[in-house]
Amino acid sequence: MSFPKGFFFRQGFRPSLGISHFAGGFHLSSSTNFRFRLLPKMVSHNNYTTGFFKITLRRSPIGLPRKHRAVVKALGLSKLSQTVYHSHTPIIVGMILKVKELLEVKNVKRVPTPEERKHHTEPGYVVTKRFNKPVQDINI
Amino acid sequence: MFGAFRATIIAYGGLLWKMPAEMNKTRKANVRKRLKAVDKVIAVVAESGVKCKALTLALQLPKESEMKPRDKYTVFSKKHKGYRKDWIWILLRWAKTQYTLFLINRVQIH
Repeated sequence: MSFPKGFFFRQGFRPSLGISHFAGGFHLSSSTNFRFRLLPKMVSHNNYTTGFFKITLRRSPIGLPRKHRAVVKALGLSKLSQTVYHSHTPIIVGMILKVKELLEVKNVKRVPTPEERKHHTEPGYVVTKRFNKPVQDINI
Repeated sequence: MFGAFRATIIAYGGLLWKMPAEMNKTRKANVRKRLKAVDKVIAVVAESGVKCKALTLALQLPKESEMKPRDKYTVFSKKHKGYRKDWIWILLRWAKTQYTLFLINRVQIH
């Protein structure tokens, strides 16, 4: 890598690693890191594709080479069983296949809304009677 | 001879780890399970219709059903008899990374 004289790197940037900016080859300072976490789950939008990959991290990247871990991070996965959605593009395909041993992938037509992604469970009981209240009002 | 102070390998050496020379049924089944999971990922990605170099390379990999037991459960070793050893779960970090292409090349040589 060669840069013109007087070129200043951003704080914590390490060009010698040879990893791309996107794949985590730089250190975020504490304040930027905090903002980074507040961002919503990453979705690559592309209207020209047929659908999306639903990608779930099933095995940990611990102990794998640095580049593999960087790919997992770049996909937007930080925890086991975490799910992200990415569009059908060659870049994403390459990233999935790089760490294919760790992922579970499905093809979906659209990205579900945050409300649809919530886990709903039935309470498992029906309220039949409550003090001073008619039953019709309770179950509605 | 007997009792708490008997002369055993553990008493003399301290720590003793015994590693079985071959994989048992469960470990073999788990290896197959992981290989099948990888096959599934490649199949799903191929289904999406995207074409790229990484995918063409991945499609050239043998499937779990096409692999020989020798490739699934053993690793190349120049020291061992038959140039193969069974400690695959220790060496490959529980088969987390791809090893099949390397295996195929070795099979052709030996």
